Amino acid sequence: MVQLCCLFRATIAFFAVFILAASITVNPAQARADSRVLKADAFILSLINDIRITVEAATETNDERKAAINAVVDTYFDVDGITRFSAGRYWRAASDEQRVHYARQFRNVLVNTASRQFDQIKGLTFIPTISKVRGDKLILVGGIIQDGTGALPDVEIFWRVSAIAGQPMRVIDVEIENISMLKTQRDENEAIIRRGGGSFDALLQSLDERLAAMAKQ
Amino acid sequence: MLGFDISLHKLYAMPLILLISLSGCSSIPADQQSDSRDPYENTNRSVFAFNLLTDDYVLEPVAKTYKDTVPLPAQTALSNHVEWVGLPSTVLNSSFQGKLENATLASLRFLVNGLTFGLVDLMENEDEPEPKDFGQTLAFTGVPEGSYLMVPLLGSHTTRSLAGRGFDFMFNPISLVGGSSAPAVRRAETPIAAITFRSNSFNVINQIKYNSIDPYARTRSAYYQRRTGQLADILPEKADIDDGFGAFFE
Repeated sequence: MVQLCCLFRATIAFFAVFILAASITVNPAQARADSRVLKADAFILSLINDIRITVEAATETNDERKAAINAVVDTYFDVDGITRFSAGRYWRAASDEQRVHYARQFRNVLVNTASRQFDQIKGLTFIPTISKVRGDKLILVGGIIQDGTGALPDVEIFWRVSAIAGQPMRVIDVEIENISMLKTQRDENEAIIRRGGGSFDALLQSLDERLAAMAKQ
Repeated sequence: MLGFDISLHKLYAMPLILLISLSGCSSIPADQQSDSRDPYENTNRSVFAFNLLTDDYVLEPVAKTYKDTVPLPAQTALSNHVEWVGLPSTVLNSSFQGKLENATLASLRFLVNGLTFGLVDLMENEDEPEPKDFGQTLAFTGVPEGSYLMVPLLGSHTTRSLAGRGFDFMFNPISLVGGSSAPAVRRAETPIAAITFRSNSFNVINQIKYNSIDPYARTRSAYYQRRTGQLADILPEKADIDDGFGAFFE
């Protein structure tokens, strides 16, 4: 009877240890995913911090603002990938000259637009929430943008970060309330090209006109 | 007392009548469309231009004045009220879609906040229900999305979401409640909702309006993405493992 009891206790102990071991043994793939998420979270917090510093510091002249924005963009964003993707399916058919022209003007429009919105960024706070792994190349870093004055409702935001093994992390998109800024830009660009009869030059001309209008404002 | 305010439904029908009269319902050939979901693009663009004009002369200035002059607590109260008015639709449609937890959350919130006509959010720190509309219920039952429609004054829709909106409006229990001052109150709901929406989205809408090369295409894209997000739990097959960014890495 004592032996039976000991055997029973040993069996229970074995299963307890087994269950405990199973519960603390992390799946290697899961661990890798978790470490990528942590890295992406830290990457975005660093970006937010740099944006805050930029907004607070570079407010003297428009050129100063643009230089500061360009520095942040080059450090944290996959500019080449964003440029390529934003031109949609027409990128492949574009000539080298058209691509260079587009890349230059697209960046100019983005930086000009961002520099005009400095005042709107002030007073906003980013509160991290949940981050998600998407496939083996993307991580969505989630958060809430809160307006310190309470004048604007909270906004849900996701930073889409490319996280390819062996390559530095880069932001490729910002998604606000389910709306991807990059996809919206691509759809707009494709619409302009299609309405221009499929000509990439129609997009280039629109960008040139937009920049000229911005310069006059 | 229950009543049915016919004039309100005429009011709702106005954008539809305007849409039909503007359109002539002519679709354009597929090779001339900038998006395959938008066969009435030329008409839609005309309606969009009309909506932009309305925004220039009415909504934007009113929303700006509202933002600048109405105290923040009052703005919050009105936003809360607009949300509260939509809760019965969420209750109905969550039930239709089998999302009983969401229906319960919305019912509770409607009842509790009803003590202040929705002006004060007494359940601020509780779980919030997800807004559900009849357009989503139609999607749930397998009704196809239809075409993209830019509706006068109401903005972006698909055929399905517009039908859903009509249903939600007509069968929202609040629109059936009567009383001597009820019609006036109900008439005020639509402009209040429009102004709070425009005010809460002031910078976003102005960003599209003033900083886009093609504001129409940008609006359409944003609408479809937002709607896809709202339908994600109903139509999970539309969700993509790489969120449609596979081409980014090619």
